[in-house]
Amino acid sequence: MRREYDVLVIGAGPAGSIAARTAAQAGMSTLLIEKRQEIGSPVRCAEAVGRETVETFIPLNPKWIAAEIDMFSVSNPQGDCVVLPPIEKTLVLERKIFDRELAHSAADAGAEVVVKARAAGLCREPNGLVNVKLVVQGEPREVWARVVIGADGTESQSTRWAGLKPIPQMKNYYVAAQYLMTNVDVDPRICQYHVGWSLAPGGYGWVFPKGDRQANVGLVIWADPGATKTALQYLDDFIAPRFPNSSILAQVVGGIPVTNVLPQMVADGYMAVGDAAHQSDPLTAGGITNGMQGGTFAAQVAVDAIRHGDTSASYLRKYEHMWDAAFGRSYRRLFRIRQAVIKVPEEKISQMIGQAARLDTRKMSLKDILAIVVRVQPQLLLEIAPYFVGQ
Amino acid sequence: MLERSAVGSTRQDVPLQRIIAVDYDHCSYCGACVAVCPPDSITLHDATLIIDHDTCTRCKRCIPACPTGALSLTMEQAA
Ligand SMILES: Cc1cc2nc3c(=O)[nH]c(=O)nc-3n(C[C@H](O)[C@H](O)[C@H](O)COP(=O)(O)OP(=O)(O)OC[C@H]3O[C@@H](n4cnc5c(N)ncnc54)[C@H](O)[C@@H]3O)c2cc1C
Ligand code: SF4
Ligand code: SF4
Repeated sequence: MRREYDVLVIGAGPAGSIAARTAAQAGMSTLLIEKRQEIGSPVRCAEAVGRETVETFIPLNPKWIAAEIDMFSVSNPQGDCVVLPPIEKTLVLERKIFDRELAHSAADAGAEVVVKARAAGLCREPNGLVNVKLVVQGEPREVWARVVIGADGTESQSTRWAGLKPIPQMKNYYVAAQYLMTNVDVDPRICQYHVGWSLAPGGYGWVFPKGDRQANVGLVIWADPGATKTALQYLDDFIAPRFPNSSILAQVVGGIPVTNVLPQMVADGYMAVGDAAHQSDPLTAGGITNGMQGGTFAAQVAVDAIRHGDTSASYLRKYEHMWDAAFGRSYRRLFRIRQAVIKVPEEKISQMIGQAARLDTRKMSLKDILAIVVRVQPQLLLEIAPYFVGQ
Repeated sequence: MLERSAVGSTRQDVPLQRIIAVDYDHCSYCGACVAVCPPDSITLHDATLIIDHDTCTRCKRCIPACPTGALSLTMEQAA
């Protein structure tokens, strides 16, 4: 480890590894630090990504692809089920291998990767360099960087050190619980979604097949201060009637902000990417490729800034503009949709799914779906329609 | 809720005070609680979760943010 780097990336998740790789490829001296002893482990994810999107970052490799998905289904608690083609072909990953592969690609590009290295504080000095306090293998260390990219995930502290203070509202914070289950009898090419307040209040449940009769079975709920059950208890109630003969191989828990991105993602000499910047989709909370895109944009701007000799927040703000051009509109829309949908009572959602389940999905059009919404909950259409026209 | 001045008095008259307690049998070190804590009183180091009782305001936001139910506000004797 050197004393000084152009770019220091905190956290070797997908967002951090891509940021480090992008900076290193541009010839920047780059350090990627990860506090865990093993990159990619433990997994905190349901592992579904769009196939074409992920391919724009890394060539597909069967090593980290657990399943290929052709269809999605949406079910209500009564068991009515609508099967739809996904917007994009979907893969279920083996994230343990995927994350390691991404960090490997950063190292191949010339980045120095160090595990068991935790960032413990940062501060920008008058000369423009950012001083970062580290704890490496338990020993305190210090390094300096022209730009620090905070990719430290949901538990990010670097965003706070940089003064960006991302405290989410409780209703916009998903609490997640998931089991990796085996002996699961589901269609291996369909990703299942389950909706209903009784099953997952403010969120939804999922069954994502991983091949070999295994699946990620999980749910997210909103962080309700009045809740009487934990996410894990909701999950136990979800699996009991559905998978009585399956076994649990692993338990995954976590939290995901669904606030839409931080109002400010940069400070002087600092940029936040991935979950640290709340870049997960504000409806589904999918954040793997979104964070990778954030990491790419941030590193590209960091490279420009370093070449221009200006790493101030006002220069780095170009990254926020790139993000907004790519995701701003759709994220504002997805955020609004969730706010509208969580107000719809469970019976109404169930009724809509029940009616859609009786249609022939091969012939079903957006018009048919809208007709159902108008019949069951016209208010919902009024609330979300403005986000689909113009804007 | 007792004042923080309670901390630091002598052992016999150390009163019980409310603190956020971690049930380590249930904690999975996922960090979900860290993100919602306004004063940044929770720190996750690999497999250790540390709560700074001096800065914690007992706002209880971390409790529903925990997927496993590992956090609670309990009465404990201040150290
Ligand atoms: C249960 C669950 C299911 C999900 N399912 C999906 C899904 O199906 N599809 C999808 O796209 N997304 C999903 N997500 C979201 C997805 O997992 C995240 O959006 C994604 O991992 C974010 O990547 P990241 O690189 O920003 O952060 P992370 O992957 O969280 O990586 C952050 C890294 O930073 C490290 N770190 C933290 N602090 C420090 C420090 N101080 N010093 C050094 N290192 C540090 C951490 O150890 C970690 O390795 C899910 C999330 C959960 C919890
Ligand atoms: S009670 Fe509030 S201040 Fe204390 S640890 Fe929990 S979230 Fe933080
Ligand atoms: S949210 Fe719960 S399980 Fe996760 S680190 Fe905090 S106390 Fe532990």
